[in-house]
Amino acid sequence: MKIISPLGMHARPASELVKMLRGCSSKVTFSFRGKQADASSMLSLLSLGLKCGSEVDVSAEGPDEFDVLAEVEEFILHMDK
Amino acid sequence: MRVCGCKGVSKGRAEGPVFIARRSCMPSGNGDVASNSESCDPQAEKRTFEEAAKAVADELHGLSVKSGIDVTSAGLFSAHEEMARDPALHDSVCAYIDGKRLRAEEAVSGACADFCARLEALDDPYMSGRSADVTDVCNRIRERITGRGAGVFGALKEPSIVMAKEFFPSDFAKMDFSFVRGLVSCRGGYTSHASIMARSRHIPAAVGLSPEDLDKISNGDTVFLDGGSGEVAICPDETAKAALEAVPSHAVGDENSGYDDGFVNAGSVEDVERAISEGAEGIGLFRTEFIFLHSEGGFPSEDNQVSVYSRAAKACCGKPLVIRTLDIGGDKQLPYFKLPAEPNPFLGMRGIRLSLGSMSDCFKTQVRAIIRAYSSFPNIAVMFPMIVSTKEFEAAKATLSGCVEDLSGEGLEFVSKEPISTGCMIETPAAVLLADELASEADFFSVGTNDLTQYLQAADRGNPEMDGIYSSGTEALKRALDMIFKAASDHGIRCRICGEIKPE
Repeated sequence: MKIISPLGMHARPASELVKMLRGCSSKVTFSFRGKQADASSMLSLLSLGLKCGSEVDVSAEGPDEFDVLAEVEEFILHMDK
Repeated sequence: MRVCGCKGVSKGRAEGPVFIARRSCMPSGNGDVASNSESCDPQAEKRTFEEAAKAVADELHGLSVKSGIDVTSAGLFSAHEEMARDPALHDSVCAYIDGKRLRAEEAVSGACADFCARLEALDDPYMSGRSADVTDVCNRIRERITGRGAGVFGALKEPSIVMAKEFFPSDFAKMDFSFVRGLVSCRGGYTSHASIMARSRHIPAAVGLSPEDLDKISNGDTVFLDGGSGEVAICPDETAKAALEAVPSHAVGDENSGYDDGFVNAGSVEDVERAISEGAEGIGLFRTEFIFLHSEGGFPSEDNQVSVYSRAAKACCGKPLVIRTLDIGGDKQLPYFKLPAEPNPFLGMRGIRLSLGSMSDCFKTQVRAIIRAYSSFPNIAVMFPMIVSTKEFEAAKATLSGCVEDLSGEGLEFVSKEPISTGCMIETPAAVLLADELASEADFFSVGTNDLTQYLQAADRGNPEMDGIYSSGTEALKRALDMIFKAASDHGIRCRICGEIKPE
């Protein structure tokens, strides 16, 4: 999945994403350049250093994994819009 | 009523309600893990952290809601709220508590540093800048744990007898002294910092209270303290109080700090003002640690230090002011500059060792500030602590002359043509044995008998069990002083004693 927001994954969207995922039952993991981040942790997400154009792998594991993945995809597409 | 027999360390009597400084667990002498990690209950520390983090997150949530249409602030507070709730932060803090047996606030510092390092390592100024947010949130949590920056002493709001298991030098930066009628602690001895502070401020104090007795005392209990006899009466009735007051309070130790020439020690500009107004002939030791301990948000700036030293020198009205460069390490730690834990801090990085080592920038700033103050106030002299070799003393002097050169190059003009008088502290056995060589390098000696006795006797001066061994050191100290004075007079330099112990 590609980050298209010109500001990258900065503090505000990261905190929104964390809040959004709090309602789900699946564990979401972001992987980027060999580093992995638990998407329930804003600090871990920020530590990945995702910029505009970064290609990130998103995986979800749990009962609602498909729905969650779709939501994350939607979120990243519309981040900062 | 119960009377506890303690050891009086600062004479005078005081009565008032008790204020007990109970801490989450006891930090050891060097403010870190090492010696008394046993007393830290990891479960309790984790709970302390969880509660503080939740309170901070809720508070930030409230701020975010209150910001309303101010979208920028609302977004910021909301992001900070998420950081306070961040599971990775919680995991990291708990790992520090479990793994290193740290106190909650220390674990937060550790975790905070890790996250900041990770963010700063990113090749992106925006992301690196987020480390400031992490620091801010962690500071909020830490302050919540320790009680709003002032720590446990923030709640000290009425004149009280302050009690603690142990007082630490940094405590005195956090206490409002107008509310301190007396000090009582379990740990500590006649020459521990709290006792010296108490005497310099004429506050009655006693040490050696048993921890069991401390546990039985409640905040607000009335206490009668005699800092001379060391009697601490809990909830005394009127007859008992009258009886206690009838006994003359006996003097403890030597009030004039061992100087025979009217010089005294000082740790602040106020101390200097008081001493000079009471007739002191000069300040033989101006401690600079308290400037650094009081400094919020990191090291005091050069300008800030110039102002303090100049005010102190001015308060001396032309009488000598001997400024000792920063002597931290040992039992003295700065809240914003954590030194690594050491098994034997008194035998580790302290005084000039730090100044010539990891704190050389801070040392240079201080030396520049002292020289700038000296340029207008030639009654200032400088001395270096914890010297063990001529090499160290020469290195410190080299820094000094380098700074003089730089400042002259920057156009600083000196009132006096004489170079600043530069002294060597004699407080280690090595310096005693090398006194002859050091005397040829130094303009004067200043003997720190408290530390010298501690090192001669191999007896921790903060340990009440060592009081006997420590105070029996006068014969050895006397011989050491003979050697020091002989070396000084052979080289025609002045030698002063600035400790509290002085043999006949």
